[in-house]
Amino acid sequence: MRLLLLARVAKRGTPMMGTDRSKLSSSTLLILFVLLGMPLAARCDTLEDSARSLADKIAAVVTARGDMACEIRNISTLELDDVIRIDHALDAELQGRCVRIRANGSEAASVVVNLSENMKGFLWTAEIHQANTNQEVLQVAPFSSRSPAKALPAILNSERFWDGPQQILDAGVIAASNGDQLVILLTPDAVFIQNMSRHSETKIDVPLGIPSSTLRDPTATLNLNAGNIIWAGHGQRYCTVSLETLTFVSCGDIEGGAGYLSPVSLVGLFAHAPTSCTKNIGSPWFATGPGDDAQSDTLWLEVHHDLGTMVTSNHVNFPGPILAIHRGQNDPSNTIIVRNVQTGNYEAYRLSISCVR
Amino acid sequence: MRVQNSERVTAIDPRQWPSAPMRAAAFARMASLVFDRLIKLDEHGTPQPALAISWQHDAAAKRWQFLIRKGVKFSDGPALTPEAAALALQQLLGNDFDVSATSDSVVIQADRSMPDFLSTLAAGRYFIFHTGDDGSLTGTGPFRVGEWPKNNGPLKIVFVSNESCWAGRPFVDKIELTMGVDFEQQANAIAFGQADVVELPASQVRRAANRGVRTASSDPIELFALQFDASRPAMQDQRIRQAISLAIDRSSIAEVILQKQGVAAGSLLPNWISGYAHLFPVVTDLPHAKELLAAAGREVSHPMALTLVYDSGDAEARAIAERVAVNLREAGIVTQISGQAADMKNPAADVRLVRYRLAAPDPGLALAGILNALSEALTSTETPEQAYAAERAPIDAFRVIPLVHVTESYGLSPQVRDWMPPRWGGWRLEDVWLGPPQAAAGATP
Repeated sequence: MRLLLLARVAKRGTPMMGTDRSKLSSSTLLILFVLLGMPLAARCDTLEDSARSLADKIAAVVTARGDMACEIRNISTLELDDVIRIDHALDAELQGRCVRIRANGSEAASVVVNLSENMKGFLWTAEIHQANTNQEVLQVAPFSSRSPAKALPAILNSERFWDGPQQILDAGVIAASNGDQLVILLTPDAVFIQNMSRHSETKIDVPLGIPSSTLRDPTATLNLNAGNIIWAGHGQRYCTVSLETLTFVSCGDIEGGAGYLSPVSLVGLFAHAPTSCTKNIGSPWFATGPGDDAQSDTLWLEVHHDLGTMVTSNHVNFPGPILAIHRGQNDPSNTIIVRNVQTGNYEAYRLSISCVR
Repeated sequence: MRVQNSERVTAIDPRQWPSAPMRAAAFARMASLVFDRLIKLDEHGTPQPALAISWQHDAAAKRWQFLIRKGVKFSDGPALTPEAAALALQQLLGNDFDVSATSDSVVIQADRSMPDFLSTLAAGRYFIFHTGDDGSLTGTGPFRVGEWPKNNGPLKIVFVSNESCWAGRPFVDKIELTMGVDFEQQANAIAFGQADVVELPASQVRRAANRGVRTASSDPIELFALQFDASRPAMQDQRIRQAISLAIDRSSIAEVILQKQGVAAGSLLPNWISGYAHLFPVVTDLPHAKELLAAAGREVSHPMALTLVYDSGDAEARAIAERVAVNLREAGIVTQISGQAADMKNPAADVRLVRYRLAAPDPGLALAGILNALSEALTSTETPEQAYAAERAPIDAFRVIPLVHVTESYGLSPQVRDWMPPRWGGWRLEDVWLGPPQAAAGATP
């Protein structure tokens, strides 16, 4: 059986377009559900088990002889490799039930498998159309087969507060004395002050000496906690800008410099998390996959100890590679700079860490 | 923290719970500042310990026993005891339940099976309260009421932090909640820095964002739908009801009127709650709608007329009703729209535009709530199979026509940090903190 995989990824609020019943041959719809958590004769513990169970239901319904055209639509948070696993399991089980599948347009039956989910778990549906009948079967798969759904000590929450085509190295938000919301951006050669309330922007050149071709340079950072002075630092060099006069002030060199670790070369970066989150588990580190800068990154917290590494938070997905992670100086938040692989824009996120009570 | 709200309450009393879902949601937000429940829900909607640390039930799920957390005090000092919890719950659950206390537990006995009882206790009015000698209510929550609105004064409740809260002291010292503020005023307040948290109607979210306001939205948690009056002769023909459904352009309602804060709906529950909403197609088919009307004896040359009523206090409902009227006119139905108070009955109304707030993220409970509100026959919704069948019945018969699912949105000041409410809306103000305003004297760009 060949299943067509649609690379449609579910996003919250995505309209789910079901089959237009009004135009299909009429018949009674038979819905078979298997609920996660209910006592079952045979519990499905893996995605493959659930896929085989769904395939059995499909095979029991398809009475037409001949080919069956099948399609899988992923409208859940299942990753592509999981979808492929499900596809293979369905394929194998249906062939094993002597239902031969070829997609050549003359199939006697068609099956659309929707990989959906709700808050409690995965819920898969199969819409079966054959001759004059429409039937549906449903199958539940446990979340645990994908990733642990157990409670974690910390929750990561990201909030995008800026995006645009400019290459940025750091960003932050402060409030002016009159209440105007200011977004401060650090680019390789300037500090931009954007007034979101008045829709205006001021550019102040700062000679930090950052190579413009650098794509990942997390040592360039902003400090917005010095009152009317904005600090921009790169390695051992720093420059200051006056928020009062909107002018460049001075540059200088400091010993040591701001030493943030690159998320490219190392897995971890020390995370600024509330103490109450970490007191029983140790110091958490941000971790991300070792993808290149053409792939989207995912971030989570890990704790490293003698017995191994423990994931302590949910995963937060970003729409592109993470270019920089900056810890807030006086507040327990972190700023993430990302380049969106689809739009090419740079995006700034505020990432907060809270404890699960 | 300065919070503004459109709803007004005269008392935060779980015993006086509003029946209207929208009002009940506002009430629950305020009550959650002062009171706790036995159970709370985590991010997956799974029951977690709160004032009860563990629970068990008999095989029939009629008798439930909850072990009460020790060391918890009400904000006015008395300890939380199983007796106190039982007393509160008995008043809230009513005479259909027998609530008693043991030395360390609350026991709740019902005459019917309640497999979803945890989800029931984790939502709605089931807060644990203590009645003081003066009749006032106190709770174990992160805040307590410091000031109640004075006569002829602004409608402002001041909540102060509960220093001895069992779950930890909240980050902010106090919350000033101003009630009865209309949405326009709230939008201006957040834009001009006079509030930290305000409500944003779905249709105003984009405008607020364009003004530089931070916004935060839940998953779709409200439903706009058309409900027909089956006693009206014109609405007794299913072909007419189906034609109405086919004539409505739901996508325009979601994209334009609600500014993308809504999702076109073919089902009563959104997919993130049910998981099967994708099986309910969203179909607009004007030619087929006209065919159905013709088959029902309603020619375009002799358009039929119907009366559509909506809540006169809901500006978004009015906008949606007007759009529905435009769509129906194209199909050959002349629609007179009429605004009226939400709790009034209009004998001349053929169809009502209803707005329903889902009471719980649990699919069975959420669906039961909607079906009850729509006066649909209540069948079991405990399993997805049952829920799907129960949801499909009124939709297939076109007794109710879902239109859009809508998010709940808030405007946040730049100082607000760690705004992380549940997916189903509401707030967790005990987890929110305020960053310092970065004072910068002099010129601003």
